[in-house]
Amino acid sequence: MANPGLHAPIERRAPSLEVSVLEGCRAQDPKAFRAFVVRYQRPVFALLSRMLGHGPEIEDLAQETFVRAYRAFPEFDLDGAAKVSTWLLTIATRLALDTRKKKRFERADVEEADDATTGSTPEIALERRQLGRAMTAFAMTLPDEQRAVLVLVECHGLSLAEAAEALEIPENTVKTRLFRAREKMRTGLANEWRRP
Amino acid sequence: MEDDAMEDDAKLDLEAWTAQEPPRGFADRVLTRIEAEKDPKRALARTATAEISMASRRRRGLRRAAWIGGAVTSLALAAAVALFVHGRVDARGDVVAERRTEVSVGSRARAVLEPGATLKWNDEDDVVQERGDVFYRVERSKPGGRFVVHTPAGDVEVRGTCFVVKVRGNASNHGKSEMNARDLKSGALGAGATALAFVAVYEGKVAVSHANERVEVAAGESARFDGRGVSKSGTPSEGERAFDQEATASVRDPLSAANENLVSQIGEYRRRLENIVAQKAELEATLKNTEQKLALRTGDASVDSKAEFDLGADDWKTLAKDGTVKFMIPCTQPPNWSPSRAQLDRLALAPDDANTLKDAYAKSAARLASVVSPLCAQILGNADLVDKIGMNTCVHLVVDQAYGKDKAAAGEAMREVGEMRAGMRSAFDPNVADHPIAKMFFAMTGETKAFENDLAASLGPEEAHRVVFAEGMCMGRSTFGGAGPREPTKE
Repeated sequence: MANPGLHAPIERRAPSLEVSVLEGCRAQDPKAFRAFVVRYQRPVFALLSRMLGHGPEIEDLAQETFVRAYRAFPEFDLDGAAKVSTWLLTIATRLALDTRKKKRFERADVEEADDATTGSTPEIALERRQLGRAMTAFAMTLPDEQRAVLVLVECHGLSLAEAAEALEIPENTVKTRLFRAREKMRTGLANEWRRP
Repeated sequence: MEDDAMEDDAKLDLEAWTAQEPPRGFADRVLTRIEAEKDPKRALARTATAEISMASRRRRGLRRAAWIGGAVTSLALAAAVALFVHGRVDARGDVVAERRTEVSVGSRARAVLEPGATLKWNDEDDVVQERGDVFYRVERSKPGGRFVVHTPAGDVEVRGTCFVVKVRGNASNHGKSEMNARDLKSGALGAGATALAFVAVYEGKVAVSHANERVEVAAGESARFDGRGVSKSGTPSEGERAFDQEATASVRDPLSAANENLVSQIGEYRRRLENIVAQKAELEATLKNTEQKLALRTGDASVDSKAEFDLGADDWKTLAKDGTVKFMIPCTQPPNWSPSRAQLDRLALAPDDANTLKDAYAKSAARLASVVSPLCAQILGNADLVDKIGMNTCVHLVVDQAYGKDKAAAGEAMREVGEMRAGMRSAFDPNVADHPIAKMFFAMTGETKAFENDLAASLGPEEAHRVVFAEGMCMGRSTFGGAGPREPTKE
């Protein structure tokens, strides 16, 4: 099911890789897989860091995500319904949730994103950085399950059905969690939110 | 209200939510790790190549950039990243590899031990390889003096390179139960007479020394050495082949071979066990997923059985003709009731939705009681009795009493309820309406929607509607037959 009426996801889906590259990945060709990593490293880092906070462990988990994808690629059905990006983000999400279950993740302070200042005045850039920090801090107070749904649907543009598949929960539960996460974000960040 | 909520949803702006950027060289490190699982030698060579390439790019960048301070900072950062990538730095260690094992030796070297290999180090120039095959990469760019690998057959000294050392023979032949760097450095101690070693160099240069003999081995070359001395043995692959044949034929000790086989078997069994554990986890996940889908399907199927109580204006128009009243109200739950985990699962709700459900049931009970209880108490003449006889009995009591008192008026009141719900007449204020049946049934026929609205505040409108009509939701359904159509008005 589509996800109507929302902002476009932050991590917009760039054009998919060519089929020949994906076929190369299935055959575990290193060059093809390198292209795959380069193409999807940003969404994977974004997902993991939004799920777990920023820190050096994110690279470990991102590596683990791609290593698992590499191992599983021969079984991936290129003609199937699942998109390769959704499949990869599913691996990353489950890894992040497992990590949270096993231990409290040590989070580093949020680094200020370089692109926060791009094309804006210093005042706006400062405002965006403050909002970014507040948003990151507040998002970490959400229950893991709600944050996972929020990140997958709002930031990565997964449909409710895809998020349900990724998290192995019913679609209606995704709806519930998404609704509650949005409510909490809206309420918690009411003073910070920059409205058009 | 619901529309407002959806409107606000549309303004949810998460653009500023910062995300960590992938560091430079990430893709190469992923490939290195993948290759390390297959072939650690190639993986380490790849890492070295990548770093040399990075260093080269950096140098070109430095020539171009005038801002030296910034370049120094970036180099420091790159070094920090490299240090992180290479993992923990171990100043000392003692490893007996049961399976392929990768370790940091001091701050500048990485070693990959094949099953059966042993490695002990106390500092970078005190590395002892008693037996087995070990691949090394030593970074030349890092500060530090000599890096020496001591073997029973001689020493291998490097200043930054990739190489492999193989040792065959029984190190305990030198008469000591525990070998250490000093024993080896002191010059073979006679132990080298029974040990055979081999070095192949992939990058850089090493010096192999035994007693007073010293031979330099460059990249693309190999050498064998034992108690009798050091000799070059062609390219790494040629030398390795010859060494393996020689070692197998002459110096392979049966006990070592048996031990190597044993550790190899242990490693294999461990891998199989890990695979079984992974398969188990996968099957459990599949089972859980299937169970959830089954539960969801059961929930969907229930919608049909309750759908007849999901009434629209047209439905009410039909019902109003003869005064039939249908309604579905939430069950009266015991005090302190809260939905169990199983109930929530059946409704496909999250655990933290329990309070939402609990509160909605409580609000509904209070709402209905505020209307029905006074009517019931009026009939009973005693408010205390109302709680004792319960909501259902009260409803029937009110209906029976009204029909007994004035059947036509009661029938008319029921038709009016249907017409109000159909929108055929304006809804009256139940606090003002004086007929008890109209007052009571107007409240009860609106309760499904009121209950749904309470849930929607937390769950959202779509989800609330689904939950109310789901199979696992406890709702009481009632139909009260009407008195029949109105009699035609006499002219």
